[in-house]
Formats: sequence, structure tokens, C-alpha cells
Amino acid sequence: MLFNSLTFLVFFVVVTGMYFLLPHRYRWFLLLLASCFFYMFFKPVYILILFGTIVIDYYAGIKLEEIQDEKKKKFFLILSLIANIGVLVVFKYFNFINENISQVLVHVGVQNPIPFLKILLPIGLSFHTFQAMSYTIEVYRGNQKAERHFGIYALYVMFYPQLVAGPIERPQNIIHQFYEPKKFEYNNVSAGLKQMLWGFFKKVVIADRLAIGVDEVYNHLDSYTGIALILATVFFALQIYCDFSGYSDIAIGAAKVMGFTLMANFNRPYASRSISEFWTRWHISLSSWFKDYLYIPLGGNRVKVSRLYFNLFIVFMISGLWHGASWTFIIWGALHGIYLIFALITKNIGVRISDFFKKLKLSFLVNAFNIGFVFALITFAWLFFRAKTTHDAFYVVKHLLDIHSINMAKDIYLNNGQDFFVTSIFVIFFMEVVQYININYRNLLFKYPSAIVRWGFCFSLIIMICVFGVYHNDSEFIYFQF
Amino acid sequence: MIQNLFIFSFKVKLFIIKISIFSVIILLSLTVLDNFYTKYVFSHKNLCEKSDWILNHHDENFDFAFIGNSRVLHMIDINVIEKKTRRKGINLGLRGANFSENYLVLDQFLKSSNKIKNLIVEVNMHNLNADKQLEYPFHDYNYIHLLKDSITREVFYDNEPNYKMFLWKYLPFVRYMEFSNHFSLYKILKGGFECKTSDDFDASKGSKIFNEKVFKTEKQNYVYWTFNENDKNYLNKIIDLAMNKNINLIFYTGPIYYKYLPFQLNYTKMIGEIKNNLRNKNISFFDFSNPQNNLCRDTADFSDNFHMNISGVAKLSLVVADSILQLLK
Repeated sequence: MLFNSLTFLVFFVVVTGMYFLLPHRYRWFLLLLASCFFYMFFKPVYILILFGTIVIDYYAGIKLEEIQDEKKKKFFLILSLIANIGVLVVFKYFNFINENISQVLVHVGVQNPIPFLKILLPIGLSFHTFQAMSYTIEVYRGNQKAERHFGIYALYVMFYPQLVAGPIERPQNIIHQFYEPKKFEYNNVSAGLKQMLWGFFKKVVIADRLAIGVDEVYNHLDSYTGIALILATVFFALQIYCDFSGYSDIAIGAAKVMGFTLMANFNRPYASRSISEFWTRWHISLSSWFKDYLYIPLGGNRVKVSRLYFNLFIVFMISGLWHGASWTFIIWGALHGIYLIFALITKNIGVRISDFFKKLKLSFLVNAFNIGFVFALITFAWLFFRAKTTHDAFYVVKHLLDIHSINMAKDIYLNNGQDFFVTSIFVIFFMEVVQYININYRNLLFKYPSAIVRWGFCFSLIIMICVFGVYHNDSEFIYFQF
Repeated sequence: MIQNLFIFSFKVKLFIIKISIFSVIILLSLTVLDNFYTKYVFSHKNLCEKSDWILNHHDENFDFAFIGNSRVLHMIDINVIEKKTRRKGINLGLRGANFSENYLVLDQFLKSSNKIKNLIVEVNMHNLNADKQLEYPFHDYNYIHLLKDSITREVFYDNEPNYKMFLWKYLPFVRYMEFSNHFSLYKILKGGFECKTSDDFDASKGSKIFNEKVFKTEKQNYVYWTFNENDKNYLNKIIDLAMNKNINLIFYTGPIYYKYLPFQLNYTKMIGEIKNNLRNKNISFFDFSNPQNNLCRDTADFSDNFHMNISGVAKLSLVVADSILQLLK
């Protein structure tokens, strides 16, 4: 079920209403049932895969807690990880691996005998698999008690607001919340609905609007060069931010209405002054997952410099692969790894330049330059994320600086797409102003003492969603595919 | 459950009161916006859009009108037929349209005090089974501002899901939200829906002829055709509407490239059935799609299997004019 659909609106009102009407002891069942319905709305049969991994992880968790012997504990942890990663490999990576094997074999004149699987990727597979893995790892480490209530454990994996695109929760943060009786709290409901509204605004007004221009260029790459490609890539950077952070806002808001607190997933990432800062602000639940369960076990920062670079590179390449079974995603991840390594190598030079400007009381110049430079690097990496194939991605890279294409860009953005362009710039500017005010002044627009201002702001958002929103049947969230 | 309601009754009441007031304000605002949009769309038609161009006619008399889908829009040159018959005509063909859309447009056209003496209807496998073949057989966004009209509403009910009609009835602005690309506030504030094509329907009398002479063909697959009940129903409604308005009816099916026809299974039988039904109603029917017909045999006359180019249209328009000349009122 898509958040930006009429079905979800009805679903949300019914489920939330019933949630508050039911006594606490039945609520877990309602939420589990609702989550199953939510998931099965996409493709019912895939619930069986999810159920299979839930059963394995549930028993693995109990065993991990009961068994004292370290070797046996490790066995159950590995069993659980294999089950989860196995599902990922079969559904997400099998055909990609097979395709690459075929290409290698073609070079030596052998035909690949392994058939390709004709299966669809279960929606949000990478998200709930990672959430399930964090449970068994935390139980193994002794940071989390094994959950004995099967329904609650299933709900931990399947809680509908964050089931298909995160935030990827940790058991310590969410499981205990299912046991706490939640009362109807006006402040929670109001704050949750406002966050959902803001998420809808970002998704249907900005992301889906920008998608029109971005898709036009990226689906007909041969027809575009230079400025048109640059604008489309910059717009994609904003589109993916609004799409994904919009989803996270709706998810966090929907949970908040019922009294649940989910972890924050975004914090104005494009205001980052370095790539490492970007990764503390972008998809926070995933980057912290990789940090806790991969980067630190690999040795983290407490290793030799060469090993540190290797760790960073590997973590980001795997992070790229997590997003999709394609070389474009791997290159995207690798690029971020390279950026970070380069930032570490040139750290001292950066500090010296920064100090120099500080002495001249011109730190704002350094900050502005850093924000712009980091945005440019990130946007460059996004083109690999957006391109359908590596061939397409390198076409964009090759033609990005073709300056003879001003007329082409004018044609798509100012002549034929003037409406799209002007409206996009207006709504992006509006979003940036609102984000700036809300972050720097403690959510001022949603919490202003005067009801007229609060209501007026929410009213403006709804009217903008109605007037400027883009409503297509196929406007899914980008991160659903992962 | 009831007990739970009482526990949080005050908080819930406060919330329900606030959200209700807020919802009423939103609904009222959307109603105002809907009225504004509707008035605007009525007064600022985009005359490059064929349907708007048709609906922009008032108090005009036509000796003949052609109606159908792209095979009328692109394949009937009204100027050629006018010259040959020495009568005034109009092309009411709409690209990718089903008979529901044709019926709606014809009804609106006649309601604007336009008069037609002869209506020439083209039938083909696509508009007899529009749902199967056409990507978007009813271009609802072109007519959503007309929803207060009873016939338009009836056509919409037959072509749209019920929930959508329910929403459009009680929350009418949703119709403009759904098609925000067509009805953008920016365009409205800027002062209109500008033309992006060079189509001059006034000069061509509603025709749009393909100039390219390259024949585009694709790999052909067998298709088994059957009548779509909705299309059949609206074809009959067109006939009834014409008869009620005392309009003389003539039917035809245009040329199809002869190598394409054998893949269209059951098509000949369907056309035969239509022919018989029309005969019972004393309506003439011309079949120009016969593979032996010279019009169907030369790729130089076609832009694709199903549409003729400028050279084919010139030939077809002359043949059609000759065929209908004696039957025109």
C-alpha cells in the first residue's frame, strides 16, 4: 500500500481509530493484522517469505539467549544471518550475480548453464531483513533480551509505518514500546499528523513534480547533454531527498499518532559541510546500521591507516549494493567511499585553509564553499544512482560539461516546461525556508503559540498539496524498490 | 471498547472538534478553488486541444460531420470532401477516443446550438473494443469541468471507477488535483493554456493529416477481437442521438493495410454484424477495409498499418466523398 494513496488514508484512519478503541492487550494483534494487510496489498504471497524469516529469527533469538556456549551461540547467529542474507541473495542478487557470471563465461566461450530466476523483488526486502538482523545481533551481543512473545516479535519486523522503507529500527528502541499502554495524547496525535503532512508535501509536491523533468531527461538520455543533464541530476538530488525523507516523515508521523517513537532518518543532509557529516544526516538508520554491525566489527577507526581506508571503501561499496543489484549502485557506494578516503588524506590541508579564513573572520565563506562542494560531490554520485545502466551513467558523465546545450535546457525547462520549472523552484524555496525555520527555531511553524499561525501553516500545506501535488498511479517511493 | 471511549473522551472530543473545524475550512476552500478552476477552464479553452476546439463552436450549421477516433482525425480531409460535395463539413474525430467520448462531444456540440445534417461514423476494431487496444480510451481530463451536465456525468459513470465519481461529487476539486499537469495554477495565473502545437484546426476544419511518407510497421501478433459492451452501447447511443435530432447517418470503416488484416481475428465477422444491424435500421455502410480494395494495398499511402498518410488521405477523402455524395441530405 502506498502512503500517497487514497487507500492508505482510509486504512490509516480505520487502524488508528481502532487502535485507540481497543484495550491495550489486543492492540499488538490489531497492529500485526494491519501490517500484514498493508504488506499483502503489494503482493500477498511474499508475506510467506517474511513469515519464514520471522520464525527463524524468533527461535534463533531465544536460542541465543538460552545457550551459554559461545560456539553454539555463534552457530545460531550465523544460521539466522544466513537465512536473512539468503533470502536477500535469492530474491535480490541472484540474477545480478548470474548475469555477471554469464558475461565472464561469454569471454571464454562458454554458455552459462545456470537459469535466471523469474521472480519479483519483495517490496522493502532490504529494510525488514536488516531490521531482523539487528535483532539477532543485539541478542547475541547481550544488548537485547530475546522476545518470547511471537506476535510482538513479528510486529517488530512488520510494524507497518516502517515496514517497507524504514527507518530501520533497533530492537532496544521499539520492542518495549509495544508493551507500553499508549493513551490518546493530543500532542502526539497533533505532532504526528503535522509530520505526516510535511512528508506528503515533500513527496507529492516536490519529489513527484521534480520526477517529471528528471524522468524526461534520464529516460531519453540520447537527446540531452550539458546543462539539461546537470539540471536533471541536481533535481534528482532534491527529488530523492524529498521522496525518501517524505516517506520517513509519514512513517514517523503515523507511528507518533499512535504514541510510538521511531528514530529520525534525516537531518537536512544537503547542509553538510563534509561527506562524513552527510552520512550522519542522510538515511541515519542505515548508516548507523552499517557503522554498528559492519564498520566497527571490521575494526572501525582503531586500525592502521591502510586498513581504515579499506574498511571505509568496503562498507560503502556494500552500502551501494544494499540499494540495488546493479553496478550503478556499487559505483555510487564506491564513490562515497573514495570521497571519504580522499577527505581523510587531505584533512590537514582542509584544517589549515579553514584556520586561515577563521583568522580573517571569514569562516562563513569556508562553510558556504564546503556546503556547495559537498553538494556537488553528492549530486555527481547521484547520477550513478539514477542512471539505469552503467552505460547511461557514463554517457551523463561524458556529456555533463557540454556547454553547447543551453537551448536544449531552455527547451525542456523554460519553453515547454516553464510551468514545471517555475513551480519546482517555488516549492523547493518554500521547503528550504520552512526547514530552516523549523530546525533553527524548534519547529516554530508547527508549534507557534498563536493558533492562527499554526493552523494557517497547516492550511497552506494542504492547499499546496492539493494545488501543486502530482498524482500519478505509478508514483511509488524510490526506496520501495530496495 | 465503549469503556475506552469514555476514558479519553475529553481529549478525543477536543481533537475531533478541532479537526472537524479544520476539515470544514479546508473543504470550503477547496470548493471555492473548484469553482474558480471550473469558471477559468470554461472561459480559457485551449483551442489547440481538439476537444476544446470542437466544444468552442456555437450556433453553426454543418452539412456533414465525421466522427470517430484517430482514423477520422488523421484520415479524413474535410477540405477535400467539401470541395467535392460543395457542402460545409467538420471533422469531430478525436485521437485515441472511444465511442463514449465521441458521444459526449457530439452531445455537447449539439447542445451548443450547432446543427448537423449528416453524421458519418467510422467504426473499426479499436473503437469497438477500446479498452483492449487504446491506452487511455476516455480522455476524462478534457471534460471534467462539464460534470454538472447530466449526459456528461452519465458518460463519466460508465467510464470511471465508482470511488472516483463519489469523490468528484462530494469533493469536486479532487478532479483538478488528479490532473494537475493539465490544470496547473501557474498556467492559470499566467493567463491561459498556451498552444504548444502548430495545429490549425480552423483551417483544416478539424482534420490533422500525417505528412510523413515513411511506413512504420511493427511485428504483428494475432489479436482476437470481440465487442466491448460499453463501446457497443455508446455506438447505439450515437445512433439514437442522431435519429432524435433528425440527423442522417452514414457508417463506414476506413482502409487498413491489407497485410495487417489477416492478423485481426474475428474482425470481419464483427464488421458483418454491424453491417446487418445498420441495414435493419436503414443506415448505409461502406467497407473500405476490404483487402482487395486498392486503397488498402500500397504502403506509400500508409503511415502505419492502421493510419493513412497525406497521399492515402487524399485518395480516401475523394472516394468517401464520391460514396456519400448521393446519400447526403
